[in-house]
Amino acid sequence: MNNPPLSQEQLAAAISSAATPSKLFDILSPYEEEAYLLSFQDNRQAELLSQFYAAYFLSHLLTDQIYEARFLTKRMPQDLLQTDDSLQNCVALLRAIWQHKHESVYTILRELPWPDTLKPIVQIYDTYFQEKTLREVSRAYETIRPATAASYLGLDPAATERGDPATIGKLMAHGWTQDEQTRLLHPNTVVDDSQQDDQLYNDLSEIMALIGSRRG
Amino acid sequence: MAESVQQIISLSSHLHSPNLLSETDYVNRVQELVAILRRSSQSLLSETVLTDLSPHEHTLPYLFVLLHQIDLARSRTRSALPDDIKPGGRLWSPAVQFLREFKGPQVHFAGHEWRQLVNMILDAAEDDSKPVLAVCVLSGAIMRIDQNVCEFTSLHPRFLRLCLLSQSYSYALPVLDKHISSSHTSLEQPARGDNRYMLALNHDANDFIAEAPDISARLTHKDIAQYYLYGAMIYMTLKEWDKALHWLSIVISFPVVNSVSKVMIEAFKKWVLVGLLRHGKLVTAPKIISSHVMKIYQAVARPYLSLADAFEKSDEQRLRTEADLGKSVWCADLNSGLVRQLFQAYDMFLVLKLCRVFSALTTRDIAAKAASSGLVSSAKIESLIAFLVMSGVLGARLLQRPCDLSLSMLRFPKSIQPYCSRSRMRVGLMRKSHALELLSHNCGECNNELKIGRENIDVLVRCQGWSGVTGKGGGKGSIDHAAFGVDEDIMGDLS
Amino acid sequence: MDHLPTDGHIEPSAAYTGQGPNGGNVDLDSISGDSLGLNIRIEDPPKFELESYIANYTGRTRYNRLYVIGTCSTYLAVEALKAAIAEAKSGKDVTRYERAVRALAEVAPNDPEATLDTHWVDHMQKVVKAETDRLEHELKGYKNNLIKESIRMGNEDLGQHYYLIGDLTSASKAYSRMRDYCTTPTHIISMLFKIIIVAIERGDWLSVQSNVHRLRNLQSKQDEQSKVQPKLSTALGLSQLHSGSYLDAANSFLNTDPGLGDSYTEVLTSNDVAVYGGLCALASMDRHELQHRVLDNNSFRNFLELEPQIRRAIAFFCNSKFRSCLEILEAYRADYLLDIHLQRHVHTLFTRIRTKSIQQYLIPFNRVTLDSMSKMFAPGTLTGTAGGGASSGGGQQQSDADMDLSHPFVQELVTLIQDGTLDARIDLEKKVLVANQVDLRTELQETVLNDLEDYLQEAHIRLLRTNIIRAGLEVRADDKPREIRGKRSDGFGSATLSRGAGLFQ
Repeated sequence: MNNPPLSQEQLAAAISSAATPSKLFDILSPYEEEAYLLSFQDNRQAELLSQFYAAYFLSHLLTDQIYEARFLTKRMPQDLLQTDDSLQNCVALLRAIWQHKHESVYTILRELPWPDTLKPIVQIYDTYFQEKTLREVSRAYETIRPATAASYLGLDPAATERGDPATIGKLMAHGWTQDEQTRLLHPNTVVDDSQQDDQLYNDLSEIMALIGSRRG
Repeated sequence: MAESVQQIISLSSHLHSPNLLSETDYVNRVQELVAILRRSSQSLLSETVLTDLSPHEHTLPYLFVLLHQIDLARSRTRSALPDDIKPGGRLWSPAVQFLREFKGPQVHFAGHEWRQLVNMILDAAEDDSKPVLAVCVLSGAIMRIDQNVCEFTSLHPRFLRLCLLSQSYSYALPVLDKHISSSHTSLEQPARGDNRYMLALNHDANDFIAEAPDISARLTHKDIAQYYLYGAMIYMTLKEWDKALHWLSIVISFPVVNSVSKVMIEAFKKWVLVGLLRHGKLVTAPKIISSHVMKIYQAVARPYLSLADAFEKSDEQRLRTEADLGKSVWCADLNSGLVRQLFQAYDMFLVLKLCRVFSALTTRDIAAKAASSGLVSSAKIESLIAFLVMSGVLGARLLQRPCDLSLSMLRFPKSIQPYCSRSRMRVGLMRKSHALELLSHNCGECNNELKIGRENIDVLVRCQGWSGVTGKGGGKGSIDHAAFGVDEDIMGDLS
Repeated sequence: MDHLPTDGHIEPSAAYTGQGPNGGNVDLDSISGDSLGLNIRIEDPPKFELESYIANYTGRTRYNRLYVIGTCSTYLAVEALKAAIAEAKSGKDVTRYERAVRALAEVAPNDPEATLDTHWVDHMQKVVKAETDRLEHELKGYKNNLIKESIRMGNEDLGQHYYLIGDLTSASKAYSRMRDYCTTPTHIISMLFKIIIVAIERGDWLSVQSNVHRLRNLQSKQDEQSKVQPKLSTALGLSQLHSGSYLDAANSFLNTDPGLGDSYTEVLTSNDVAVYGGLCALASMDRHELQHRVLDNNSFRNFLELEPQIRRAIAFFCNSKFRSCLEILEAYRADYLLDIHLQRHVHTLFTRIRTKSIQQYLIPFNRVTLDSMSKMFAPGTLTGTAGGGASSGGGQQQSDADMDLSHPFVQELVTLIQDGTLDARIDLEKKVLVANQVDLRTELQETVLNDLEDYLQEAHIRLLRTNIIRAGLEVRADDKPREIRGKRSDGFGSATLSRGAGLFQ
């Protein structure tokens, strides 16, 4: 693998070009060693490093590797972590996710300052997190108050309460309904019980055959 | 010794397309090359410049030249770890490049040199406290050399240790998962006259690996036990409790002659805690552990066991007291992280237990039930439950009421069993069937090696004329074991 | 420790050397310890009349029963204790007199009888002392003469004397010494019965059982047998009741021949047999068994007729009228709590009967509203079954519509579900109890997956083990591997552990 050396242009290109989060992760992960070595140089490019680590961190989150993301924050140069704003944001984000504080996740993603290079990926994560939470909330709740839903999904509480179509349009798209009287939202579960019975029984009989032959 | 650089290069180039060569031919050529390289003079190796070679194309020459250069650096600085090979040093990146790109099959024949290099990398990374740097490279390298064979070498525990030190756990997973999925790490007996151990083999591929027995250094029981303990610890950090538990039970059921190793005791302590975290109770130990070993464990790990007892009996108060009392113990054993996680797990199991008793109840009821624990407000409980449901641990649904903010209804599904979809079932069965297949293969393999395969036994029976046994249908493995008093009844109930 | 007259006399020096000393002592503790009666206070008036009740008994059990009633029932305390004092004064046991007086002084300090009649006490002590000396002296004389029958009778007299003055250990010892001098089966039988009676009073149930078995094994004439059998069955039943094996006890009482009549009033009456047997059967048998072995049992019917409420309770249970059954039992709870033998077991027996009723009740239902269940099992004041004192709060019982977690009946159900007695779950939303439905298919699939997993893991462990052993890498005490160590110095065993484990914070 002969990657071009780590640079801000390279990083920005990677962020904008990567088609899927896992691709981004694959692009970024080989650079970790280089970044690590860079961090020991005297006149290190703190900005580059911070952006790389932040991007790498977010790509962990996007691929649902929350534990690894946590350990990444321990692996990265600690002095940098303490002083750099974006990395501090990352740590705050990690903490919020870890403690299931959905509201603060959205606050951190939307209101804290992120460098321009990272903004697209932060945006992607915002959407990703929202959709993931939406799926989970649909599973967990049979009825939910608009306020609660808003806090889970990072929506504007007042608009959700009113049933503002612009705000809850996304929810309706997922098959949610709203009770006119109580204003309660009724999430809709997606049943994903794929019907592959034939396949199942074939597999089963194979297994039986296998066990049978071993038992003699 | 008139071999020239050119000759070596050309020999090495011939190896590029093993498909064109017969297997024996290939082996011969590789061995020839290794022999030449081993005896080639210093000057010859110094002549070669690393940058001229590609580690992928000329794996073996590159390896030897690199090692030579390292030797030079060593003798120059008179230290075992000159700065040159430390991360960022002159020789570090060639070494890393080599490990990224070398050709697995060829390296098997220069196992000694390969191990030298890897050990050097390990030492350098650890010494310079930059273990992160070596982990990724080694993960790839080990996977490459293990490509077709699943062997256990002394490198494995060191590698896992490095992963732990560097806190980069996911790199260890490919290696770990491979060993788990093949459920087979066979330790070859020392070859005749050679007291090195090789661990091998998945038959089909490289049979000739046996001829290159020096990838691994001599192993001790400690290496193996440590490997599995480290592996378990890596799974623990990633909260893969099932796998962690399994690996720990491998360590605690390690065969012993007359003593128990420290590693095993550490493993037992962790095993108790992980069992609590995963199942909410003290899990039953593998049956294979002999009773005297179990007694030693119980004596040594008493604080852990009483902690587990409190946990199991849902005695929140006692759990806290025990956890407080044993603080110094957990710290000394470095298990305080796991102990701390117990409290979260405790709340979780509390809710899970309710699911057995109720089919619907309000969060306020849960608060009443859990009065003793930290879960006091219904809002807190609701968020805990929402989290449990959202993460798939609990199959239930919450209903919020329009007006009453503090009260939500929790409905559990009709059936007590966790919701089990067909597709999940299917995946589970497929995975298990694959594992079973491998396992039965390995069992057969093992039987053959132990000479208790069915054919062997049949032959034996015929030769010795034990008609009584054959008369009873001597084909059945387990009967044979008993009848012949074969010592290895370890496998008795498996075959 | 002042409720039973027995143990005051057991001096440490007089170690009891009779049959089954260890077991005996254990049981002694259990009956004479604090568990008996001390904390039980029964406010409700019992249904029986004290005078006619106690008239059914003879011998020392009269005092014991009176004393239990006197110390436990607030309603009958004075009356019973006065009767106890009178009873004691008519005998020779000074200790029990003193104890009864003390108990009365606590209840009615101003009563003239609550002061000790020191004159009588001194006199009686002298008499007893003289009598003891005389009998011991006589026995010595007989022993010198070596006449078997005289020695036997001497021991018997001495035992009888000790028994009457309340020195049960010595009595039991004296009776046991008769053994070698018995010449006819009749002697042996009478000796064993005497031992049994002492053992019952001492609460030495192991001794009761072993002596019952001894008696059983004796060959005796037919008419003798029919006289012995009822006593044996009841004694055995009592000991089984006390050791908590209610089914065995039920069987023993059910097998008691109605010929018992009032032949064993120094221990129990036929009424007691009906109550003990009926309750034990209710607590331990299913409906079918109850119908066939209790209600349709011709000989036991004779007993049941004496205590018709037991008969009705059993009949109600068999007809699934659980509420009526439980109501009857509740109504008699005070009576049973005042019974010297039943007292300690009433709670357990009633709980078992109740649990069984709930189980039986649920069988035909898929889901039952908690409301209807609580009407059946916890109407108003009757919810107090769970604890002795709970019934006092009956007045403020909230309406049944308010079934939530704090409701005692729901609590009871929760306990039952948690300990696995009920296979159902509570729906606090719709206020129903839902029977668990088993999805056999899913369950089977789950089991298959789990078993497979277990098998795989164990096989993996064993395979590895084989390989490790084959390579000679077992852990050894001297920790010196058979081969020379590799060049790598590996001093990092524990160092690594310490570093690695810190990661889980």
